[in-house]
Amino acid sequence: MRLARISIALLLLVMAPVAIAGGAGASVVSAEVHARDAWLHASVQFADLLDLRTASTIDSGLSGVCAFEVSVLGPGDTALGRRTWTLRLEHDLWEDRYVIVGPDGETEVSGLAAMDSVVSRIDGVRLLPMSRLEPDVEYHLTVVVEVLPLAVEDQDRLSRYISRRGGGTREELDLDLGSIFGRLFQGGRSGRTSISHHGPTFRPRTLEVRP
Amino acid sequence: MSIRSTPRGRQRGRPRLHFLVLVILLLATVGPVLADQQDVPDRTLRLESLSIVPDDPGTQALVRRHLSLAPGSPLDVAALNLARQALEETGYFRDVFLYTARGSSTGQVILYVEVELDRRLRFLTGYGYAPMDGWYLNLIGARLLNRPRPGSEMRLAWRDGFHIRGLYLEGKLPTGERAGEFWRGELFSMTKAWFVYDQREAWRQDIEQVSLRIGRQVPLGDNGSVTAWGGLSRVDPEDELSAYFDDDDQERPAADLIPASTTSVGLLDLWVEGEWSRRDPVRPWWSGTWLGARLRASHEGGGSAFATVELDARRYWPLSDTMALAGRARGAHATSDTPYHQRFQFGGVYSVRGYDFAYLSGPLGAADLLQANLELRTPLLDRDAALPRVTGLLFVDTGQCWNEGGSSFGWTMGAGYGVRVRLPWVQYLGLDVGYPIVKLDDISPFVLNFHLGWSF
Repeated sequence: MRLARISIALLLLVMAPVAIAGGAGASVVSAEVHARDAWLHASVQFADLLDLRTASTIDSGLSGVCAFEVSVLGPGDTALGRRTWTLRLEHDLWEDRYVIVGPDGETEVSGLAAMDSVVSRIDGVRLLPMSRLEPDVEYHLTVVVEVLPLAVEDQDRLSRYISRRGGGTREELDLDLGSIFGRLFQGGRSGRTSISHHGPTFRPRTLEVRP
Repeated sequence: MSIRSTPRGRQRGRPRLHFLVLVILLLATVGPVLADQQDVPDRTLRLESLSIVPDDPGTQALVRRHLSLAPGSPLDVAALNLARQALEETGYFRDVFLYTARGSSTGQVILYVEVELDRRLRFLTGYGYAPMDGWYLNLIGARLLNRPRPGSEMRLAWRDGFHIRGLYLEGKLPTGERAGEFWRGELFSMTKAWFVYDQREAWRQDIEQVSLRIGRQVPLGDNGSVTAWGGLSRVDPEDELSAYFDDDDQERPAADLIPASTTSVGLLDLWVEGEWSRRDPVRPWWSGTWLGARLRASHEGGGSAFATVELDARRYWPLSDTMALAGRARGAHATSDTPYHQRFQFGGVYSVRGYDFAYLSGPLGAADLLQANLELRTPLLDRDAALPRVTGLLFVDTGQCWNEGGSSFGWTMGAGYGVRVRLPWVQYLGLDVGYPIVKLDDISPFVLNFHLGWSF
């Protein structure tokens, strides 16, 4: 148990510089597509996906989440196929169990480092039938990942634009016009590890076919 | 003695034996349960401490004031997301980010709250609700928060309500060590509609008012606040009355229907307003209690003085998860020198539905009033939702008001039904149909009220 805590502390220490940089250290190491069973598949490898704050939150007994979106875009950036899924990262403090809960069920891992390793790898996710692609047209793959402590969602909530204040014999609800219009031009919010990766480009005729 | 004592001793011994057996059985039954309970560790995650970034005292105080979690609070993801949402909804923060770390022992959690203060000028629209005055729309406005210090607020808005309309500039500056202490300032130029009736024709007089007031707000326990105001007002009633009927705008001199001076007056005002609320934070119309009071003392430029007092109590009894019975009691008094346009309007929405607005208080307003309302609220659409899309209501309103001379229509009563539709911007849009139970001369057989929000 003590060894596990020391390992976690070391992991957090190693990850600290990455997290202080606002999760900017997370990156896509490789992203590639291939054909198998007449379907287009994608594999992606990330680095430093689990930032310090998410790791710290999981370590404290509360959960974190990794949300993935992998898309195939055609000419004019039209989305032809898209897969989205979410992994919930949990740590049972009392049983000292680290669990990744995803659409395919639970996977138990040995610790935070193993958790980081598992979530950092997308291995052959099935995207769309090859028959929907033209052999000589150029397509490309996009990958979006968001890692957050405290799980659940970080959707575009109305609460970001609405504020309520009471007290002093009056209550008011304001709808912030600037934010609603401004969100069209805003980037991501601070404190989140968020990757939006564009590429690679491929032509179906030249794709590797795997058994 | 000893021979006699033996049976008695046996008789006394039997209850003791029964008691002993009972204790053994009790221990045998409860003991393992207690032992099991001692063996089961408490697996609740609890907040050990809070770390707020940035660590300046103003931001620390602002976050702590609006964060519902305190050391010892049980923590889970849902509670933390609610806490984050509550902080975001204050509008004081541009971004709120929460994460946690292990505390000093297993199950103890340190909560990190990273916020970015919103110091930008925001353009806004929205609605507001002053429980003692009713609902209004902030049609368009601007707001600047956290300047000059965290928790400060400056707002300029064009407000349009049921019978008020105008431009409001308001400021709020947190002071002192205690949460909820503010200096407040208001400068507004507004028009209030004063309704008078000529038989069944409703005539409207515009009362222009410009006011400047400075106030000090202090908390009253954990659930209330008191604000003391001092300020100056200029009140200018229009000389004309206006109405719309026979497909045309109509005008006539105010003196035709209002037997009082319509000259403008300057007022030096002192106000004390207080409220105490323990209503459900998400559904205040469904459960809880609200109490409000307002006292005003004013001195006219001409030398006379007047005072008014209003007391208001509301209670919401949940009958099921979405159904509620709401009750209200209200009383008010204005002293004899009170200008008519500073007295109370009575009848219709917010008082006794079933009569036209201000019909019961007459052209010179009410000097005294008493009212009581009961309303049954039940969902009609989205019946199982915490906030149903459409809610129906049945109501009974009753009350009496007296003018300065003590005359009155007597005790009046109205009953009816209505709906509240929940909409994104205005929250609740309401339609009530009220029928007068106590019949008076020259009144409509029913009155339709179309307004924002709940009745109370």
